[in-house]
Amino acid sequence: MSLLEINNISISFVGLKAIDSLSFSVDEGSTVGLIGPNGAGKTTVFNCIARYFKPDQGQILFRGEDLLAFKPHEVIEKGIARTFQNMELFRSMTVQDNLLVGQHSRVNTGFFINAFSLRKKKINESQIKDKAAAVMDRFGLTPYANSRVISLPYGIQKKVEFARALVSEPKLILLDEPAAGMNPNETEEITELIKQLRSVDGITVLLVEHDMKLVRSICDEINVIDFGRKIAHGTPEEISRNPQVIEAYLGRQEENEYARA
Amino acid sequence: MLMLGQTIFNGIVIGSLYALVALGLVIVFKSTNRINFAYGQMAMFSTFIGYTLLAKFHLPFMLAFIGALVFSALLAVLVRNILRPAKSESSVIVATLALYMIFTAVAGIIWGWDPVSFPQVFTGEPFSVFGIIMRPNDLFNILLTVILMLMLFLFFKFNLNGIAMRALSQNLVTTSLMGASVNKLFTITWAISGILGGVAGILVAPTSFLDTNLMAVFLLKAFTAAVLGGFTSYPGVVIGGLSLGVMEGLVSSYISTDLMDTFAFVLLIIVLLIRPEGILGKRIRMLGKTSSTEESGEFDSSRPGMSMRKKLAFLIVSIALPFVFQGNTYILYFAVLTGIYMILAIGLDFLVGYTGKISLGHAALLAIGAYSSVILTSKVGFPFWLALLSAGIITGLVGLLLGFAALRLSGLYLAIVTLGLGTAVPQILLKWDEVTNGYTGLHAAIPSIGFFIIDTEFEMYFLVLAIVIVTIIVTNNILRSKIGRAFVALRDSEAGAEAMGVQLAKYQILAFVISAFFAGIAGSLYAHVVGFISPADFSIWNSLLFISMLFIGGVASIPGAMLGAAFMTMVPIFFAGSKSISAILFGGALLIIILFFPSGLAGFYKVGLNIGKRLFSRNSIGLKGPAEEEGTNVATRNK
Repeated sequence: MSLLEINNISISFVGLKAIDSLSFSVDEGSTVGLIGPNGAGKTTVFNCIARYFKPDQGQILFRGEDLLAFKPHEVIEKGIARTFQNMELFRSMTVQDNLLVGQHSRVNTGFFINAFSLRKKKINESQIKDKAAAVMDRFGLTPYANSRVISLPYGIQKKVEFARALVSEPKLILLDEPAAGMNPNETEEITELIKQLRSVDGITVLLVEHDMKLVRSICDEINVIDFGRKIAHGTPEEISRNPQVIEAYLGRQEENEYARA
Repeated sequence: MLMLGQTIFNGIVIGSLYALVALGLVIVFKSTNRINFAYGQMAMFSTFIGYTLLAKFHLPFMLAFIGALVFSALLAVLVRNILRPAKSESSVIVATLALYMIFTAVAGIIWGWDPVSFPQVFTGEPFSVFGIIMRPNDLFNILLTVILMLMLFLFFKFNLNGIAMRALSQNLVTTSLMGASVNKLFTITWAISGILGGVAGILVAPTSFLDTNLMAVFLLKAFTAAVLGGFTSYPGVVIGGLSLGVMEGLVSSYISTDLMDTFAFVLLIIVLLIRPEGILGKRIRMLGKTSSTEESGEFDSSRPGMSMRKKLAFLIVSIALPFVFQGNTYILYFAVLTGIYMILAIGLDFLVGYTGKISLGHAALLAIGAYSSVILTSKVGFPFWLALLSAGIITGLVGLLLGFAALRLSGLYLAIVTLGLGTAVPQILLKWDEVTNGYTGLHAAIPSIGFFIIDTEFEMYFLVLAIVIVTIIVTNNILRSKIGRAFVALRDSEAGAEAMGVQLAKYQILAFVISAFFAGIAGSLYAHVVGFISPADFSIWNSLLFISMLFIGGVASIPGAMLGAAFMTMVPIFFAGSKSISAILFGGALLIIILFFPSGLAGFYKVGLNIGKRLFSRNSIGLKGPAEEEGTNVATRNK
């Protein structure tokens, strides 16, 4: 059974169709890539799944449940965590605190328990701190645990956001360009971490990424979209040979000649 | 029918003045994205200059008028340059509030606090057109407003600078790349804005008296007019001003004159909730939503707190203080007030510091707490402790409503609405005299707990100290829990916080409720400690003092809030009797701190501590060798 199922969704902004009758599904335990040229609508798909946008039509099912019935903050409780293309970190907080907010939905202490610091709060706090420490250790973030995010280099910040998504123990992670702006070493590290999501945690991954080497090396299947429509679907090998995909990325042969003339 | 015609005519006369002030605000906002809360006071100041030219130098009216306008334009350019270092929207808001205080105080020193009368431009006999009585002066107001608006329109449409300014409001970088001098354009914008304000001031002054508060209420109405017309459209703003004037006239002639001043505030709320883009405006990008350049206080929910030794020292000092000054009720009284303001400031910090929401009307919440507590003890017969708690809860409920309204507002709009609340509540307290006793005010019962009557400053000190300590502990607990982290997460990135499961609405409203609860508790204590309350205790001026406390002390820091409260309460003692000098001092301190030292007095303390540490460790390198230096480092870390 597929974990996430996108059925025929469309959304337009001021007349422009950003997504046009798009359907695809993500099988449990798989790593699926979502690629396409700039402006193809990849991030918009993420924002629909994360409930920031409401599709004009169509259906999004997660484990058979209609995701569109939930609010943005409820999505993570369902088991979907995400990262953002332009990073939405809590800049003035420490790395540890960012990972503690990541577990917000896992803590259910009421106002008065917190205000008077009752026993239950202290137990909860130490539990989520342990969990955060474990994830920081795995991501090599332990030395930065008490640094403010804003003071850290870009590559580390990217990792913090990844870690923040993982710490909520999701079933599905949406990664929006996790390797954008990273140097080759950092990209390799990120690739390894994404691979571990499947091998260690058994988490399903939906990935938007421009680095084709990364996509090819970790994805089981790839969906290609252009102008909000799905133009291809298949294994990495199939996709790299697909003429339509090549056309979408490089433009049609005649057009290129025309431009040269 | 005749009365209707007259009401509408009068409405248009006053409405054209609202439109002028609103235009001045919007011109600056559109091109520089800055909102000037000192605008009204600048106009007041220029009007006083005009007054001096008329009354002291006996210049003819037109010369005095032009002189005042030149001054007004220069003043606006000066203000523009003062505001230049301000980085974020909230620091611009606070910096203009500081200027508000400074202008008011300086005008008070130069021209005194008593109202003077300002002559009309034309003093001819009123005449009647279709039965509507018009004075030449009224027609002059309307005519001048229309001419100014036309000139502005032509300037923006045909003058090259005007066109560049329109381009500027669309895209700053591109316009400057096209060769327009941004600096020159900004200067022109501010000068035009200053002239509009100066004209409005001189036209408003004859309708009442000229004093330092000339434009205070007027500014709120101009904001309402601007919001009504849509903050971005010039014709919209003019229509907004005129219709506000007419609607106010209708309300005061057909419903009640008492409602006239609060009407603008009610209208403001309604417009913002129903159609925030106003009559003609486009949806403006919500200020304060994108906080990418915002300087925000650092936060760490697991930072080790004060060491036991420091806590003990704090406790010993605060317990010993009243014994040292036992005979000096004056000092004890101010110490008690300081404690009360500490509670208020810590509460305000929940909003301003930790959640990043501004409130310019916290004196209104203090007032609600104070009046509820006094009424509950004297008219309902509640014991003091129950009234104290109820005051907190009632004010908390008001905070709940404010929080709901604030969900749809951010940055600038929230500042305007809370400013409106701060202006409206004292007026409502004045008018609703069956309950509040109007100007005369109310006497508060002497607080008592059981049979223990708290009637000396010495006893009150311990009552307030106990509540301050509870406030600090509870605040600390909240901030070091998932709640505090959710507040700061929302402040730093709403999208990120929501994706992590933080309910935006719930936590934003919660911050307002907590903040209001503490304001209510502080209000109740204030009433019973001072023994007497009247609307004058809770004016918009006080709201500004409270916000200053936070920024002077340092936002998003409990010691910061406490230091700020102490500073603002204690400083006036040293300048006893001179409201002006201490206001200039506050305003000046606030301005310098907001522009150059974003972390406030608490930040000074840290910087000082760091310098101290560095000096100390450098000494130890030279004198004692590396081993011991490591020892000192460990010691400082453990502190």
